[in-house]
Amino acid sequence: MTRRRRLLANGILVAILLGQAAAIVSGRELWPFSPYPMFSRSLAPTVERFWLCGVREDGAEIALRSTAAFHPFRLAQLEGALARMDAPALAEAARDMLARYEARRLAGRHDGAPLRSLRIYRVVWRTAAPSGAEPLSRELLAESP
Amino acid sequence: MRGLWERFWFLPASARSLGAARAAIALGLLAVYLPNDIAAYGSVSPVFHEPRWLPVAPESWLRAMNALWLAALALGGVGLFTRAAFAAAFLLGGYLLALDSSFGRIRHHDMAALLALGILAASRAGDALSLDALRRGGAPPPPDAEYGWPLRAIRLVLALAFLAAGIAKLRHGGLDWIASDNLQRRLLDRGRLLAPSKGLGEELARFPLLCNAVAAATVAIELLYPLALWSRRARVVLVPASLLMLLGFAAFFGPRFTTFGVLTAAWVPFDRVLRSRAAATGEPPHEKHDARHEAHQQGGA
Repeated sequence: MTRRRRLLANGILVAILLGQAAAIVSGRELWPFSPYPMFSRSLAPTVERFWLCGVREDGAEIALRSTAAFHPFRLAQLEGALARMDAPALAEAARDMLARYEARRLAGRHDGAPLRSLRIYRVVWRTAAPSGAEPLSRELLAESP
Repeated sequence: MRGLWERFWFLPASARSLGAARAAIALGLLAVYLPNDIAAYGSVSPVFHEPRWLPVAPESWLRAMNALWLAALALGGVGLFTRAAFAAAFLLGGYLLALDSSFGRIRHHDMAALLALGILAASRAGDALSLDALRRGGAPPPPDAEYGWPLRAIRLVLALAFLAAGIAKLRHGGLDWIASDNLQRRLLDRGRLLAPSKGLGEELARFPLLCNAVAAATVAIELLYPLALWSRRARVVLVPASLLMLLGFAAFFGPRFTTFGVLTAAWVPFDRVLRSRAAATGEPPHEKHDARHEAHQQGGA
């Protein structure tokens, strides 16, 4: 191994050590280094989440959870994006998601029901409540159209 | 100090071992990212995009970049134009994976994959078990420090990622992360993403003491994982345990840290595997010194 190659390898090793150390100490995301904070915080007794609901032609409201319908978004990704939005952005997000849902349904990419509109709710849950329990509150944030 | 550093990172290793790990990692990442349609972000409303400083290329450009990126991973896997392939995979992946993380949530496991691609781009991973080596012909190169440091660097990336995750849990959650009903509540909460649903997580949440034990084991594996860099005994326990933990995350929480699983190929003693295969088929060993170097490498300091 030549001296020059050894220098290159040492440079890479030191960059990895320093970059990751900086991310851990600062607690900040320093792409491509990270403090890897996933699931690290203890949950509060209540937590805010989002519901995406579709309104069918017959007026019935259905929960939407299919990632195929909202491709390329994953559920956790949508939650993260919606949590940062203000009212106008949420309205635009509802419009975009409904358009995406319908376009992909018509293209045969998912088998969801045809929708008349799409609603985004903010829902507050008691974190210790079992699934099937009702949320503590539900607030309509945006609807399209 | 300098001597210790040199001995730790630059012990000679076999080109075949690095070549086998290169193929496993590149083809594994190709399988992970093949279904990822990053180009679709080109047609998503800008309200989802944050941070805005990272520009979103038009969908047709993204599609072309994604195809080139996947082709680079495939070329890296088979070892054709190996260094150029990994350099392209690192640069294109740097943009495409950052873009994927700029819509709603950071995908942490992509970071380790990107760093591994950068390491392989700087390595001589195509010197054996590659189409490049076939084109060049001749005997495989002898063991050298060139073939050891890249896999150790990828192991370091994994070790630091797990260590950071363990530290974050203690920093933000403290001992409550383990001893309270935190994990139970988290498992229940995961089922409420966007709408309530039942999942395996809810089944596990019915057993409080088991949840505490799982939480303790998770933090222990993450904090102790760096020991695997030095100790063979720790490696034998911690590396398989980390894979089980990743499977548990996928089954009970949902997120699949598949790339971490793929990068674990950097721990596989490919020399031993290749030698046993050669012995079974009656082929002569390719490198006389492999056994000695591998024993040194696997045994730890």
